[in-house]
Amino acid sequence: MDKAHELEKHPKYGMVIDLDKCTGCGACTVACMEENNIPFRKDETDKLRSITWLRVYRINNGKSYPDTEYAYLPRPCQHCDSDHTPCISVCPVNAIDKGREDGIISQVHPRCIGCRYCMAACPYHARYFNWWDPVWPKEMKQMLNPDVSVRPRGVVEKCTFCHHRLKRAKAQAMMDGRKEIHEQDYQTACTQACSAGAIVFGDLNNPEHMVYKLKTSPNAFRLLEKLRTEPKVYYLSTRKWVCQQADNGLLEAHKADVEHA
Amino acid sequence: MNVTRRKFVFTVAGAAAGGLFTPVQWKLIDDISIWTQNWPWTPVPRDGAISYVASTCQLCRGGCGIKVRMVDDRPVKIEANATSPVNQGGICPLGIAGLQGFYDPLRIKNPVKKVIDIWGGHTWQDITWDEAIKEVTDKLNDLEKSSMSHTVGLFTSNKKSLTNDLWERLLKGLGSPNNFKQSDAQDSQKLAVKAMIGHDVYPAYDLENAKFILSFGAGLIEGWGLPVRSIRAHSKWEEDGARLIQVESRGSLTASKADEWLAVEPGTEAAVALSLCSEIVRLGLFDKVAVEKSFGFIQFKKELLSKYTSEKMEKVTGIKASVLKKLAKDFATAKNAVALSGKGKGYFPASVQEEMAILSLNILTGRLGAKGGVLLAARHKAFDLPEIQLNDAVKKSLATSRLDDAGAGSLSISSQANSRLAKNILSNKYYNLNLLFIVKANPAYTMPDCKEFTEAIKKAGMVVAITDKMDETAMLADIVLPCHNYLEAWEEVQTQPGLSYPIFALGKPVVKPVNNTKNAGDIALMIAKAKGGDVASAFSWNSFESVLKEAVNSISKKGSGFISMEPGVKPWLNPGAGKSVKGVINLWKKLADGGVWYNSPEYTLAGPATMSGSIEFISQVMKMAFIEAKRCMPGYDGTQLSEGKENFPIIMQPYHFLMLADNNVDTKPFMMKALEDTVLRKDTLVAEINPETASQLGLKDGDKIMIRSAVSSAPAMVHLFEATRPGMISVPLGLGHTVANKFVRGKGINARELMDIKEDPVSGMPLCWNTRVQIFKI
Repeated sequence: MDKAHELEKHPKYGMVIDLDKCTGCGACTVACMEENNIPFRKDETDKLRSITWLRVYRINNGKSYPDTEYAYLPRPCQHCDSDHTPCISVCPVNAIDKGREDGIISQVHPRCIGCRYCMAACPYHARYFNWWDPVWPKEMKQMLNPDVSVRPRGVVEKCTFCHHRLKRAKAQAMMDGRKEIHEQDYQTACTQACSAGAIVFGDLNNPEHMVYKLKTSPNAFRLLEKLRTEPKVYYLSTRKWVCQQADNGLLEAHKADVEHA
Repeated sequence: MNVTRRKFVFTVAGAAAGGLFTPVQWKLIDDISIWTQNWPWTPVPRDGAISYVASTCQLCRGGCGIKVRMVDDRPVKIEANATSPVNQGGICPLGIAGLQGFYDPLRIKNPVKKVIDIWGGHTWQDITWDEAIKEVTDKLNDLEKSSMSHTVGLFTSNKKSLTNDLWERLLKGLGSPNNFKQSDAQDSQKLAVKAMIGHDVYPAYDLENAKFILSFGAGLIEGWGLPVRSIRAHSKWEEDGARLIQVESRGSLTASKADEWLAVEPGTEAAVALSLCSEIVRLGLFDKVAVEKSFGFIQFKKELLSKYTSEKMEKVTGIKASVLKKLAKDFATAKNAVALSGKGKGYFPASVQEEMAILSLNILTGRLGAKGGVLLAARHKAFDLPEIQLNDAVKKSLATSRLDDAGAGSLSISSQANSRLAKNILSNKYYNLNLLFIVKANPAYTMPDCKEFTEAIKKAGMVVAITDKMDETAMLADIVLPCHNYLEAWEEVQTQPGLSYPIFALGKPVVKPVNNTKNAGDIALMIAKAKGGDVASAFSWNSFESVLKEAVNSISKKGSGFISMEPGVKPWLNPGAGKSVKGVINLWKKLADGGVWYNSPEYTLAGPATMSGSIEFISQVMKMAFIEAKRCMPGYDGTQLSEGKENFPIIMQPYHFLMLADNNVDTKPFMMKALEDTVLRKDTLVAEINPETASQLGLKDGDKIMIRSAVSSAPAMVHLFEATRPGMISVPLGLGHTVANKFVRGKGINARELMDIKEDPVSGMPLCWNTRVQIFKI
């Protein structure tokens, strides 16, 4: 059995986000912050330095009033599946790893030396640097989740697809004496919080999971596909202008390149 | 000692060799490396056993089922409970971040009393509960002795709850008519229903079954109605291919998601509704059965066909007559259609005439009591407190006129007249409030006339605030009685206005109270009991929990309805199906475990209860109240924005969205963090302007401006946004808290301060959605 095939046997966790259903309410972002002990500061309006593992972007069709339309695009880490995942390739200290059994790109905070090469490499701006010590008001320290360690100043962090929940699901499966993990056993915090049902999470390799079917929808696309990063986060939209913004027309340009060649 | 060369070499070599074998330096390096990573200020969360406790969210009227994740005895996360049919597993940002309210550093730990110091400042002095209650009852006794009981006031949140019922009962028992609450869009909808159909009930909308939704500015996915329920309904519309049409000036997110967006001139929503009515009447597409027996239809028809034709309304609304005509036809012939009102989150009232126009659209097309339409459900209230017995002195005191004129004269159909309240108090029109209770409400922030209202509160003799944390209103109080946070208290969720089916759920304590607090309902009981006499005997309950038990008992006795204990219960499908529970103890247990009692929507319609006994297009109750004839009919009043165009050429419209809470609770730190920089930059509010307008005014993105209205001015920053109508400026609502934790305090401005409020002559409610302003660069 070749290596690639062996990998395919394992679950490959991924996400499908329906941008037509997404209402931009931001429950996903807030759920993520509460789940993953993300610190908050008095002023968080400098978005380049504000840590939001899952950021909700506003995009618009660029037309003038009253033909303007806009939509929201939640962006977690895309958990690139290519052999040359941008962040992994550049990390000098092996602080980033792709899970062989789940495909999840993880960040090993104790190893991270804070050089931020990965941030420069990530085409999705999904990585964030801890510029400051995380500080909580005394009372609010009580709400920290013990499943996720608090990151100190000086390291890079990002969405982990709530990897700790997978660990719990695995432990539970072991206790129950079963091998497989059911779709509902492992769901990310953002998926659970989505009132609109726009975020769907599961094993992209498992035909019984919703994401398996949804990713093959004709309305499905991924961000910056031309880069061949093979993100495991898919988006759905029936609106053409939304789909086009996924790669700023890069894909079409790429197709033209290929034809030209 | 003689150091020879040989000795020296031996010593050095020996030290080097020894150094290689000793572990000391390796140990030191190891220690140093550990020490450099040993940052004791980075907290390590305490581990423990994980459990989930089901309860109900109380942070807005949505009433979502929640599950709180506990690590041992500390709550660490709030998640949705899928057993509630209302939110069906969904939750909003505020619902999740509600935990930060529980852990808020500004939670009040003890009853406190304000002590004014010699410098004019004040400090808060801890007092015991007994002392606090004594202060209040002493004041009440004094007022009773001097026959001034009517000068006791009460301000509660506008949520339907037993806590509010108890406080209103207390006020009634004391003999004061002055119970106030903030009116919202649903209150103006209720008045329209009262005027035209005669029932004193809130209209409910069968959103889940709707297939054609015509929304007049309702921010359906931005927090309108029961926020999560509306979002769930929107997702269902997406799946079912339902049509959503948004009539709104600003390109809100709802407008962006709609199948069609009618970008109207600001403030002309009623004109659109009337032009649609006109077209429907002209084409004879109206529901003949509904209209045949109605009162005043002929005159209304005449009015529609002369004043409100699509061609005439094209000039007013800016929407092409052909578009209006097509929409009228589509709406009239669509199945399961409904017209919705209430702008943004629906926190501000609209004029009764506008609500009547939109209601007429529903009536004419036969949407009353229809599937997917407007339901007037009388049985929505699960439980009423028993009637209170009053003696003659109290009855006499109760008959005093209210401070806000509501229920009398031209405002006789109205039960709250918010726009008169602060004005009458400040102008000494009647009498001063000698004691004011403010229960779980923050009117100094949420009232449209918040600045005036703040002054009015300051004028009251003694202000007692019942709240769980310090806010703008509690800051003005003389005594603050801390109530439990919702995660510490027994509370209930009843059917809130707009929900198409009745529900009852319990909020139960997830943790033991961390501070010296009481349940807000229990505080009312304590005051009543301490007051003694007839008031005390009207409060026979031992605790608020026993009030809740009585409510559950009454539901159980009625025997109707079902219980939802697992995900996927949909009361709007298969009416009459569901699991029922026998026995009150059983029902209580199920409710305490996160179950929700519900019933199916009521599609049968009770006959109109108007004076004429039929639906009235010319409201007789309004006529009886000496309201001028033209205002007794659905209509469009174009005068609201017509004045002041020269000095204030720009129209300011606020907007709502879910990341900013704009009600009695403040936004949480996580939500402030998640705000886009198109809402707030540093501490400055960001206002949206169309690029075209900006270039006319010489403004570019990021410019600092001053927004000045007839009442006030405030700084803001410019954000160019195509979806804002040219000639308008949009400002977010929910910023500008002056009393809150440091993550929320002092960020931007409360847009209410700029609002130029007009009074709706029919209801006395404030109209404030559109304000004329001028903008200049600073």
